[in-house]
Amino acid sequence: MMSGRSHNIGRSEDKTTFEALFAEYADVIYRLCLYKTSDQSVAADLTQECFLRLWKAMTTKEQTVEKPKQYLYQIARNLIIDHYKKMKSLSLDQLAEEGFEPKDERQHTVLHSETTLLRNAIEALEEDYREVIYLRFVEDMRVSDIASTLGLSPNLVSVRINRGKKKLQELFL
Amino acid sequence: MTETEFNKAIDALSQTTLSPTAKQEMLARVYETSINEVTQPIASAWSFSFASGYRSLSAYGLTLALILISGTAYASSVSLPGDTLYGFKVKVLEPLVLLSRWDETDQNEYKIALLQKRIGELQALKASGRINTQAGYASHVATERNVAAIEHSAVFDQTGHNSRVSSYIDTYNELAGAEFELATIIKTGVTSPTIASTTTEMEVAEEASLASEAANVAKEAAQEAASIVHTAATNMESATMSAEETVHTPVRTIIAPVKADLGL
Repeated sequence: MMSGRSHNIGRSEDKTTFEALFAEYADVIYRLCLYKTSDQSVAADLTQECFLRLWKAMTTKEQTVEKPKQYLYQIARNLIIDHYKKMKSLSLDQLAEEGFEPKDERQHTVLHSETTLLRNAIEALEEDYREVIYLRFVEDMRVSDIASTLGLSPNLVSVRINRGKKKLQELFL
Repeated sequence: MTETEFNKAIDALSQTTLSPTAKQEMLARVYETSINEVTQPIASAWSFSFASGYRSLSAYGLTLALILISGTAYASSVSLPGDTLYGFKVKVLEPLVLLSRWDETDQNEYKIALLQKRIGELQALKASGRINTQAGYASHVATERNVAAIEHSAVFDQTGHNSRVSSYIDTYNELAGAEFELATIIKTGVTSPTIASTTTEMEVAEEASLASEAANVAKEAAQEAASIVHTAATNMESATMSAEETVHTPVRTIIAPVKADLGL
């Protein structure tokens, strides 16, 4: 049963803003999903779902999306977790305990060996460092951008990047 | 994995993009999906079904559960170390409240407020004469957890200190006594801001190095310019002397015989 809310679809200013966000972040979100799933089709599906949710949020009168970048990133993370929940029927507690390190073991998925190697390297780091290192190295984001994306302080991001880099150096052969 | 392999993998992933066609199709599907969802029929408010009855029962059950939980939450919120519900307060309620705070600054302030709360609990225990080993230990464990959370927060100045937090820790340790005293790196300076300050120092050093290098370049350029000027001056002097010689020699040639003739 629908809630009875009215959806204001297609206001031109919403569409312009949304398409600008899509143009800027579609590849970023796609790469994140690809990095986590190693499957191009799944990554594309998740990216589409992510932007669908953003579009719904932007066009619903009761909601305002104040930080779209952070919102997008959070949605993407949640969708990736949901994807693996469906895949492996893990409980949320187990996912939280194990850390977000599920590996897609289906034989027929398209695995990018380099993406897998990269993921193994980054996820060998402590949980706090993984996201900042990923965004710094793969997306080449500045500290301030990473901070606003993850909702952290720039100081903390800077600290984590430094620690993560040092740890990576130790892990390299 | 070697650093080269890592960098290669980074480059490969960072250059991965959706094709323009894929993006157009994705956008079209987003708009199409959102329109389709709006046009789904809305069920009548008067229709009754087992599903709606079940939903009512679920609503009552949920309300009852909420009443029980809120009662428990209240009872635990006023509990002190050693009480039965104290563990529920520090392990469930307080983390839930922390999670509800989205802003990192709010979270940090709440973490510090929890430390103050631990001090208040100890004071209340002492005032009521209920301080004992069990209560002291429960308080110590809870406070240690709070302090660990603060250690990982970015609430420190460039030297890794926070005077407010340090003073609270001192107050807690005075109340807790030697047996349950907290050991924390907050008192000696948290290492993480050192890295941040090292980064700042590195940036400053790099700026200074660049400035020094720029100054050396300017100095060399000035020396080069001075050398050029000196050479030019020397050449000009030589040219002038030569010019004078050229002018004076014929005059001497003329004057000398004249002087000889005049007996001068």
